[in-house]
Amino acid sequence: MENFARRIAVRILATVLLIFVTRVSALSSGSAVAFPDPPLEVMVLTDVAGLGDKGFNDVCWQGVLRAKQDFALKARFVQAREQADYLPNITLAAQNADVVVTLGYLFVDALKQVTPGFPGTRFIHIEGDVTGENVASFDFKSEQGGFLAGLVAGLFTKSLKVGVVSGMDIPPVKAYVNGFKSGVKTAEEKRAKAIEVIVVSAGSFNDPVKGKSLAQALIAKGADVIFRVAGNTGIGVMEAIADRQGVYLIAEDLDMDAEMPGKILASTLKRMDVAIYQAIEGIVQGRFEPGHHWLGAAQGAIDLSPMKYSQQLFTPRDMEWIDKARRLLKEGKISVPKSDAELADFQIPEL
Amino acid sequence: MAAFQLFLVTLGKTTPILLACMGGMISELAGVINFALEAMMLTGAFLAVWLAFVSGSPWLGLMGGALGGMLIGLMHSLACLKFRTNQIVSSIALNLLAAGATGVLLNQIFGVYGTSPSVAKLPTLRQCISESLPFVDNGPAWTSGEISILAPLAIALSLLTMAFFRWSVWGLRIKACGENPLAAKAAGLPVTLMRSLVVLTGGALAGMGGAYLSIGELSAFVEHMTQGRGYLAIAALILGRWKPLGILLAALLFGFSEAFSEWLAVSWANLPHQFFLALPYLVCLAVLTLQIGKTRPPSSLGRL
Repeated sequence: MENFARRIAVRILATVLLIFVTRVSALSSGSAVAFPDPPLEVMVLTDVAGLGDKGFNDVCWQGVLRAKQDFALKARFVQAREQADYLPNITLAAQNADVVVTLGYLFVDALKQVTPGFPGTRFIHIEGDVTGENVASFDFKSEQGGFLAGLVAGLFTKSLKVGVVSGMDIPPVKAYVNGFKSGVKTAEEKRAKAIEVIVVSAGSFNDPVKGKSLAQALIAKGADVIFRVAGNTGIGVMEAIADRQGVYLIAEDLDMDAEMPGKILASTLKRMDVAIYQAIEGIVQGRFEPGHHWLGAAQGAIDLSPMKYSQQLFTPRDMEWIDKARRLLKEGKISVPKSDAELADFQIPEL
Repeated sequence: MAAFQLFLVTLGKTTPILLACMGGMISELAGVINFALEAMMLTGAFLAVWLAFVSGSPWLGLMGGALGGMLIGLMHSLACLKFRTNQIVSSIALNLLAAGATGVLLNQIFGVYGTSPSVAKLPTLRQCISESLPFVDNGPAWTSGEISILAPLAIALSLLTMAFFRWSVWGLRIKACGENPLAAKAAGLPVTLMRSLVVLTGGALAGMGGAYLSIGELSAFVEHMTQGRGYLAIAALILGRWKPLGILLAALLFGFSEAFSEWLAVSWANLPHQFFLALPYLVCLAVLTLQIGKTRPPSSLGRL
């Protein structure tokens, strides 16, 4: 009997511990500094890759941090452990915060379910079309960044083979990849040589070990420039490139050039931080603009890093082409394909 | 050359699964269900990075990996053997615990999110050879590819385990604990103590498997970096029928099918990549269904 009671007790204890642990793991708070009241409470929900991915999530978080400093906000983030966490996490955040920021295309479905139930909460969403009175969603013309990356890769490659390691096959990633292909096509015409693009997918934004072996497979196949669009999986791609002579990386979303000087040809910039900052600014100043917005090079949201450490690897003529492409994108004079169908009809721009 | 490259990648992919799988095997041979391999690997991967970061030595890091696995092993054996909880439930709880705790600790210790700072990495086989045998210039040709020193070590460990269970008395005694604990007890064996020690040793092995991921392949810890490899190890354990040789082959098969699917993905980039991602698991499923004869786990698995 005593034994039975003890077993029950242990089981209850284990359950409680389990619940506690799940909570702790879900709520690793960013900061808890007290601000003058009532501070606006901002809750940021990251996807499973989470902060520290040196890409997508980190860029967005930078915008939140800047807003936090300027407007004396309370900002916290919650990292999802799996996709099933999205719905409860958004609901919980909406109950507790004034502004909920969701990062990533994978949130779209869950977000659509939650937003109508919380008319008093403002939602800022990055990547994906979510509309509503209380939602401002932003999409980025990732394909323009991909185009610039492809142009850089295509102009650079000595082996005439370039690779892409992608995370999951979601629309923003597909846009990146198709843009990249069109950029390589443009470089092909400029150099009058055929360049092969090899795209491989890791099926996860969170598997750096697989990212490394995929990058190694690409290198073994002869690729000398690899474009990573893979979140945390990309950390493994960098690892594979770090100790290889003559193989170079193009990073996505965040300016990574200084991380491995000379080994990163360029980084495509996606200024999600600016979008988030401005949206929060709007809320603070009482002029929140709901709706879905497309941001691209024309708005300064997509660009290429200044290539501070890699310029000397290119001829002045190459750099001229790259600069011209950036300018034309800004002026809206190049239409970059996003889908496979558009890629087939791609008109190579005059550079 | 391509075949040789494929072989090296296969070895690399096999190593973490093999180490974890051996850890699971010895613990299950002693009669304790061990689904907590994922937790052991993840904790091992984390502690390996932590110790390597603090000490600057990847070898101490590897020891840290073993310690991390043992820590989970200790908790598992306490829960199962002392408090007699359900062994599967305890395993699952530990898997969740490790996933959350490593993330929180990463933030508390290093002050970063998601990815740890980079640390010293275990040497490759080639580096080890040219260091210990300075007269061999860059090592013989067969070491030319990049393969961590842990890969041959894992194979050697697996052969050792094979010999241990085949020829040593203690191997037989451990199996007795898993087949018929009452008889083992009657024969004067300290069953519970032996089981605890075996679970701890298994934890050390699985922890080293995790360390392979963080300081063998990469040079940093990334949250949730095991990505289900611990579960794959359990599949390899069942496929290998709880036999050392069997699990070596099963782990090699998994390693090969993953390496091969990646090689295919690079060669035939036009096919939908979901196919390549699913391929290793399809192979696993196919082999499991095609398996001839009866699969027999240790008779008293999960029973006290």
